[in-house]
Amino acid sequence: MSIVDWLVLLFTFAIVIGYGVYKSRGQRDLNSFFLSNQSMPWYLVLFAIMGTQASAITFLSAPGQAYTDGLRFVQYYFGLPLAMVVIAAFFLPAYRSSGFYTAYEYLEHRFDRKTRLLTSFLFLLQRGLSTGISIYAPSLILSALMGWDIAITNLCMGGLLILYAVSGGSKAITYTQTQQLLIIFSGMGIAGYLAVEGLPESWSFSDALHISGATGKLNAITTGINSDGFNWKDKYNLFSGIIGGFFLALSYFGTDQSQVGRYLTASSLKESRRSLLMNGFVKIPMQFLILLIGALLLTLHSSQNPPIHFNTALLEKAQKSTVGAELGELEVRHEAWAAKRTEKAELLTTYLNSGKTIPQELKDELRISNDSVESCRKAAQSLMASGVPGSDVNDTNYIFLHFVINTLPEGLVGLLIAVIFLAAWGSIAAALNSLASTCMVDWHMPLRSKARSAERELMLSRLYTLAWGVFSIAVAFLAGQLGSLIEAVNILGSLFYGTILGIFCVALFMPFIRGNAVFIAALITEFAVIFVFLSDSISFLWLNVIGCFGVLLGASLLHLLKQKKAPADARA
Amino acid sequence: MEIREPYGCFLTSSATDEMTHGHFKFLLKEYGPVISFLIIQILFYTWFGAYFS
Repeated sequence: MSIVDWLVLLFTFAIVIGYGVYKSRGQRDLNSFFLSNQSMPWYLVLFAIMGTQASAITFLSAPGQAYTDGLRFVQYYFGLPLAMVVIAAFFLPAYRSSGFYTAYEYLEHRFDRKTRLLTSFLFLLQRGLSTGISIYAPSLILSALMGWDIAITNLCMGGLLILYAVSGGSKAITYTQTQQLLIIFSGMGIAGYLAVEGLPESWSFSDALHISGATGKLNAITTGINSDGFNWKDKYNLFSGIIGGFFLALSYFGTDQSQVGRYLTASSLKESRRSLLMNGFVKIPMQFLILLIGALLLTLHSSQNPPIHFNTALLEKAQKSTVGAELGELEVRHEAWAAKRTEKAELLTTYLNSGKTIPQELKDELRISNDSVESCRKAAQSLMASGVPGSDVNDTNYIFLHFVINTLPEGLVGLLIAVIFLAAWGSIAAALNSLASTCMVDWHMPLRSKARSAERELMLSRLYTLAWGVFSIAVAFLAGQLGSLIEAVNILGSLFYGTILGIFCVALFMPFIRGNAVFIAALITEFAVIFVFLSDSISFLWLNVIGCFGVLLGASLLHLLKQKKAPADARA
Repeated sequence: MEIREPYGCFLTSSATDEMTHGHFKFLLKEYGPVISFLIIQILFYTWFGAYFS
């Protein structure tokens, strides 16, 4: 990175941290630290909700996802607006009815303490580990492509935000998330514009879409149905997106304290509801536009000879390994297919510019050459896996950053690197705040009922925020040694979310069921979900559905059994 | 609407009063646009994919 890039990066850091610390004033008690005195307008809460959900990996991974797999990933978000409606209508009024700090506090009010502790424990477990991974994953990518030290990158990624998260709590986090999102959107907008600007002069934006479309990457809607029926292992299609995505979004936004803690800061029920519903409006278009950048990058690469693998540091290692010669042959083949792709893409633009109908054969040839480029990339990944054992050869997350580093002008590289950091900070800061609130409100206060002053409670909450920050950085440091476990930790959310959602659904929609029934049903269902996951028979999105319905069904059956037993006991 | 204390079900919340009194009209006015926009988007993305491929 040039001096100008470093200056832009450090200046952005200073602005965000300084602003966060400045907004830290006025913290007096738990209400101000965790709920911002419930004074936030809906638009700030909306930014907080979006900033919490969108991590660094969202911006690094989504364009790469569209580059390799097309726009169909957008279907993953189709269940989100429906979930926002259900949360706004049912979950939100329950959370706001008694001035709760956390979602789990409501469960003690509704059931009993053990159900509250079980649910908050599941949250702490998965959120604590996944926060560590959300520090490590972008750090790994940045350190690989920029040649930075992974330990220092981890410390910057997870450590600097602690300054305002500890001092300012949810208020500072909300204000900085707003600022961060504005910088992120500007950065991504510029990156998208420069991807189009980088195209050959004779290629227009519309031509770029036609080229990408001819390779099949713009098909956003797929049904997942083939000649063998519905493919349950297909991750992203209309049905898994609407149904599986609905349950995932319902669990995440409705029961995960990192999100509940954001919309509880709104000044009224109406403001909370408006922020959720606006999220339902803007999330899918936002994600679509980010994915479109990836599809445009594919068109840009259709006019060039891109590398066979975008993790260039790993590629160099593999070239020097035992598979180097074989990899070299593959690179020659890749280059030949890339040249053929360029030739077909140019021919296609000639047809477009002359207003003639594009022959289907030309489209087929362009798709075949693009598929062949992809096959070469896949073959290279397999080779690299054997040449550099233990390495992660999937380069999807490197595609966008490779474009940033190698294409963008001086100054903008620094801005886009800052975008990655700020995206990470927004979600990590909210996670630390929610982990601290759950620790303090759901564990510390009920189990140590000694009277404390407001100042002492505030100090303890700050200490918990700091402790979770240190824990997350420690997980990020250890993650380097965990290797393949990283993927398992990423799926951790889906393993627990369904069960947690089931507990909340029983609480909200089955008023006749009591604590014992839901507690036992939740434990049994959790084991069942883990069993289904280990059997590897369905896509992970469906685990949320199984978990939720498992608890609903189990709790109903246990309730019926208890009711049948009660008259028998009475007769005895 | 029956109030089911002491279980803390969402129906007990005074915040939902407007819902329980407004019934279907309220739900449609408040949440209809979000769902309509989702349907429009699915139709748009279907057209988008078909047009450019």
